[in-house]
Amino acid sequence: MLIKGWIYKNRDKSRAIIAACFFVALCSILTCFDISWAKVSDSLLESSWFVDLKEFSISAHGTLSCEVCHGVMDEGAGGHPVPGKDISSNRRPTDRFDYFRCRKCHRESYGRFLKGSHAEALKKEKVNGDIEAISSLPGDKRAPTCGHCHSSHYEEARLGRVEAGRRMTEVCGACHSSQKKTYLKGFHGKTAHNLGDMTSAYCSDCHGAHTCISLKEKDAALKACLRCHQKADASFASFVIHPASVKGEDSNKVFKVAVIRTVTVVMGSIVLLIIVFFYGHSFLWILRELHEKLRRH
Amino acid sequence: MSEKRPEEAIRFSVLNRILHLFVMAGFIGLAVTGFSLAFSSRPWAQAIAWLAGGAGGLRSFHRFFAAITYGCVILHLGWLVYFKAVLKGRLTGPDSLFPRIKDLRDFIAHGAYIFGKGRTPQFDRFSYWEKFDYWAILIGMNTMGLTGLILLFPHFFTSLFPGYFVNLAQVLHLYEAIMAVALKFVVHIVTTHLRPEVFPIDKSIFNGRRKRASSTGAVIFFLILAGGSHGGNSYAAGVELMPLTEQGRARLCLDCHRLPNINTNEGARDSQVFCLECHGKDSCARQTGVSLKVDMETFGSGRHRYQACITCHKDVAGSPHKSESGGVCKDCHYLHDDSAAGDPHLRVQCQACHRKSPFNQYDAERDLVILARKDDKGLPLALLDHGLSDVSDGEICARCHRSGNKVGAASSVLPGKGIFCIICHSAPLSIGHWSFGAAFLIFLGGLYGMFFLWFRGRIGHEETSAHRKISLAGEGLWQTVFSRRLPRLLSVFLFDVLLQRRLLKESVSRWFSHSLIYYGFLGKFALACLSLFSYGLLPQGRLSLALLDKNNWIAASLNDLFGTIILLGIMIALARRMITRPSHVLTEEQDSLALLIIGMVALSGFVVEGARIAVTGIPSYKAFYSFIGYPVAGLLRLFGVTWGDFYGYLWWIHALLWMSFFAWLPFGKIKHIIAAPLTLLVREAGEKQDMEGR
Repeated sequence: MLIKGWIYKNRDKSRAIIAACFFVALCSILTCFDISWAKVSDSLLESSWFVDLKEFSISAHGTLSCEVCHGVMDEGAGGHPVPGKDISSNRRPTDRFDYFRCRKCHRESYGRFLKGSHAEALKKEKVNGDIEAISSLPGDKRAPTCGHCHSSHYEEARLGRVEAGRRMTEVCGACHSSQKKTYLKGFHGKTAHNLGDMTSAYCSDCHGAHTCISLKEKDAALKACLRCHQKADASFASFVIHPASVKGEDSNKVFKVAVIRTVTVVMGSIVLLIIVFFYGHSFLWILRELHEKLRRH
Repeated sequence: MSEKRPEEAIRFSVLNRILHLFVMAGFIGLAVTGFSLAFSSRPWAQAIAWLAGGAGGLRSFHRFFAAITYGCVILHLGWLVYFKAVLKGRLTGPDSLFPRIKDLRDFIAHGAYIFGKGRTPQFDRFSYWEKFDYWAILIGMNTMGLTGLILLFPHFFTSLFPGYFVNLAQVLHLYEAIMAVALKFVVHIVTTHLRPEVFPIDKSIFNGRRKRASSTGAVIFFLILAGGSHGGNSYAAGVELMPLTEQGRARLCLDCHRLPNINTNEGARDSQVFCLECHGKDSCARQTGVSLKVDMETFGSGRHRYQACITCHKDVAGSPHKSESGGVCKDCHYLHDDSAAGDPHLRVQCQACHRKSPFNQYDAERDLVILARKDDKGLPLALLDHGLSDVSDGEICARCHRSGNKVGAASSVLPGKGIFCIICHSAPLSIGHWSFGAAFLIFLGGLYGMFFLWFRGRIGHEETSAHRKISLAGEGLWQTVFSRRLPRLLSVFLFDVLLQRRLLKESVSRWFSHSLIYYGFLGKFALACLSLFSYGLLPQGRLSLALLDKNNWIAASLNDLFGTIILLGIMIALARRMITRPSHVLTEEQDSLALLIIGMVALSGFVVEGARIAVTGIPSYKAFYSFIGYPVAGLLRLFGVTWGDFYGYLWWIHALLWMSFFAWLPFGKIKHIIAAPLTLLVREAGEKQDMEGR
């Protein structure tokens, strides 16, 4: 009753309070964009010639000595590159390193990798041409080996499903950026990546861990759906998980994506028009009523 | 049928009131849970998800609220059937929510009222906006329900439709939700409760009565939380450089490959030793023969001699042995504010001015002016001296600012902005060029004259002594600020000064045209002040960078928006003066002149902006956020002139126009910008003082 009386007595003030609330809300919306006072953070050190022992010692490989993976580095052919002279230092360590050495411990993962589409792409790359030319591609978009996805010195051990899944989105998304974007817009990405729902799907849940197979084939896609959605059928599997047209897609998907995009644009503009109209209507109406009211006083 | 009902007539039945309550609760619940799912990358959404117990909880709550809301819809539809079939009621007619031709007529008549022509029409029991509210939610709930059901039971629905209909259902569900929330939470609340006629609340939906009853106040929910991150700064201490020696013994891997702690002297030295093993020798050279030997004489006596190499050359120590970022200065050094090097210099690498080499080039890929790797004759440069140039020498500017330069710089060197410019642009706290100072002096003189005139009048009982008058006025000010009158003054400031209540009382269209100019300037001023404040607080902050950079999408679009608003206001005001001429508009020469000058300032501002975009050649993906300046730049390009040579003149025209306006301000009629708020406040304070005196 107290509040009620106060509001009726102090209409100007209560209006001011509401205006202030709107203002605060507006400011909060602004801060929801990615602007903040905080400094743009530069990555501290990307230099790969130096190993940060603080991070290395707590990583999964932290107990290994250098020689376990790198062998004995005698200067000269095959061993340590000669500083300034050896052209090999112009290649990335991921191209130089012999990842067959990983198989010593990671036999299962290595086997799966060999069966997958990344290994297939690697084979094609080796047949088709010189690595030097490909390695200068922007964004490092060439067939990946172990080191492209996993950090050999700093990879943390014993990550949970959610944490591993989140990092997976970033790592896969570094090359497959349109897939990452559509995944994060979809239901799986929102629940699994953003909200940490363990029962939802991360990249490898559909595409397989280390095999990384494409699901353009309908049968393969249905098989992937069936892992979680037991009632799925062929029609269910025709849901477009990554609705972005990428070069070399079949016409069926291009059509579906076009329909989805058209509906999005049409619906979006209708919604925008309606909102703009009614906001303008309300605003002008309030102006007129305020004017009338001020006149009366 | 628009007969007069008794004041206490029942407007909403008990069933309708209950249904409204449940739909309201369900709708708010649906909005909160649904948007938390849709915008799940935002921190506030994750906070709500955490409260609801994760994504699963959020989903369950969403379905629960959906059941409540949709249950209400079904109950309502059932009641309508019962009402028609059993009670033999009428579902159409003026007493119902069924749309009629009269609603269209009402809408047009009400629109005319809004534009100041005629009166509010006599509505039926439900007005057209109430009917819109009703039908929007009735149809909306059903389509939301249908798309929601598709998303809830995809297995069943994909047996009827192809799978990508689920995609469509997702899109429709999201967009309709956005529309529903944008309309219900704003338009519905505003038109039914916050409108001046019904403010603060129309309780009829809660107590059913027609007459406005008392309320417990309006409640607004805002659950928006902001996120942010923090970055650190690294500094290295300085002592004498240690002699560089090689170690004799056989090395272990980590003797070299351990990451040195560059924050210590040891680490800085280790880093230098590692790099100088090659870069200290004469034999270190590119295949082209350009030496890569670091000139230790200049580096060892330079400012950076105690820094590790990798403190600046961050990404170079790796294979392949090349750098993407080059030397990084901004980790330790702040950006310049607008005084020394204006915002166009945000796309100039520090080294372009601060290194001794006089050759610069434009890197289109990064949209950055960088130190050239080749001199004028195309001979490669080594750039290994690490020496710094003396930037206080104005000659440095002529590296780029000369006619025929290739880096997109104006051919003349322009002064930095002065504090004058802060009304519209981010500017430093300094006067700037001497001509700005002259205009400022005239402005101050005029201001002094204004106050001098005011103080010639009587204050209290004092008539002659200026000293006594000032002291009395100061006393009055003090008494007012530290009294219970302060809230009253603040409300005058808010409503009469900021919200221009007096103008609105006079006429809506006058308020509108004046407000466009006023809020356009206020918006630009607020933006400029924010950038000054933000730069002072944290020069390297993300916000400072965004506001200082005219090509940043936020700054560019907001500045162009405010400029457009000002120009629009000027045009409407001029049209009111020249063409429509309502009876109460008195056109004076001064008014038109003031409008003309402001209009010219805004117009020339857009031309200068266009010329800047044309000269600097900002790539279109960045430039199109300046939605006026970019088309203007396109127009200017049609002339086929080297705009770099004319940019200086355009800039000066804009600046001189603004300066003349500013200098003229305390003399002409536009002094109301200063005088009107003061008069209003003084009058308010004076009135109360008199009352207390009695």
